[in-house]
Amino acid sequence: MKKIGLLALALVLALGTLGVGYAMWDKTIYIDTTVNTGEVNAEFVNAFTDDDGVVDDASKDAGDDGGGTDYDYWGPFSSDDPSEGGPNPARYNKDVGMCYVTTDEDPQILHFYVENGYPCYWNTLWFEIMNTGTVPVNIEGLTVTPKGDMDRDNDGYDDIYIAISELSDGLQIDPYSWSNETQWGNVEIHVVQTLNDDASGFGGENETYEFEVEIWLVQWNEPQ
Amino acid sequence: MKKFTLICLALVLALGTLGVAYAMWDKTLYVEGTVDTGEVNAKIGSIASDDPAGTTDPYYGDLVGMPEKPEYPLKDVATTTCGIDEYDNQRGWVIIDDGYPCYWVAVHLTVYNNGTIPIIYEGVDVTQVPGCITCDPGNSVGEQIDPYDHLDYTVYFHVEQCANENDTYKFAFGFHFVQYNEYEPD
Repeated sequence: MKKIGLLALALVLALGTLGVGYAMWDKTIYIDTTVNTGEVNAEFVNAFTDDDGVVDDASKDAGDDGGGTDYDYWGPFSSDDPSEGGPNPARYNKDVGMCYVTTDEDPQILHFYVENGYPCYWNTLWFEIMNTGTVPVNIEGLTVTPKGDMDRDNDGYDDIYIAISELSDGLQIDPYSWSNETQWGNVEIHVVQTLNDDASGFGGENETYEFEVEIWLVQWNEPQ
Repeated sequence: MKKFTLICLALVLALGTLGVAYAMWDKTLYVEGTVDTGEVNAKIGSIASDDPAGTTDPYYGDLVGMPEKPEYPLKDVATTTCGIDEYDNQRGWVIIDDGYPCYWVAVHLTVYNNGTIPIIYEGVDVTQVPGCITCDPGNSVGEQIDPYDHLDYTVYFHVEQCANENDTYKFAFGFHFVQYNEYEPD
């Protein structure tokens, strides 16, 4: 009798468990989600110098008319040499040095050249940066990295002065796709006046100086 | 052993967190720059005097306010020879033989700009010229020589009254050229 009772109890428990499982009413709501991420990207879309013989932007290189007042070594490919940096610089009356810029297959690289530089020759590279991505970017870093010795006359000073203007850390550049705005910047180059002959008669003549300018852009909400 | 496992787990979690923090999207633009400098250089292309052997001694007294022609007949007494240093075309030499008081001679030289930058004649260094010899570089200070071009100069020498007999005066003088944008007119 006791055995029968135990069997019945087990049966009730089993059926109860089964009953609970089937008695649950439920519903699942699904949200099909798509996240399209944006893109951080930027390119150089325009670049020129103020001594390449062409007036590219009258607010920046109006005097770059391809002439040489008192000496014209480069003909129409260069102009009277700038004697200072920045927009519309004062100029000497001779075309001795020349500078020009070429684009790369990679639109994030420019190649900038100075030919026949001499002490106190200035030139300015102008470039236009377009945010071709979809996310605003901030300038996180601007660096100039020399490639090799920049003090060839051993006077304790770099022979070439390089400065980045118009751009600064933290400056925001919005995507062109919705802002229709770009950002101009420049690099000013100066063959410095202290480039004198040293005791051995060497003064940085017939030398090649190389450097790299890096403009580091990050998504706008990254902390500085 | 359990403790070691926990440390490893914490390390993995920390690095993971760090990875999230650095998951910043960025882009770098580059400007590759090259600056080639030019050269200031000059050389003597030719040099000659107007009183080589066998010629009457010249006279340039008018340069110092004396009569245009001397009161005495000119003779072939002194001789001036000159040339370019065999090993250094930036050095010339001038030898006056049998000079005498009031002897004048002109030395003509051609200077070439064999650099790549215009140069301007800033002046002559006559600090080593002895007191009884005058070295007059003329008035071409400020003249420009473009690269691959040349300019002719005339230097006048005058033996002064105070010169010693049978003496030898050796001296050097230098033409100084500077890159065009360093020249400052007096």
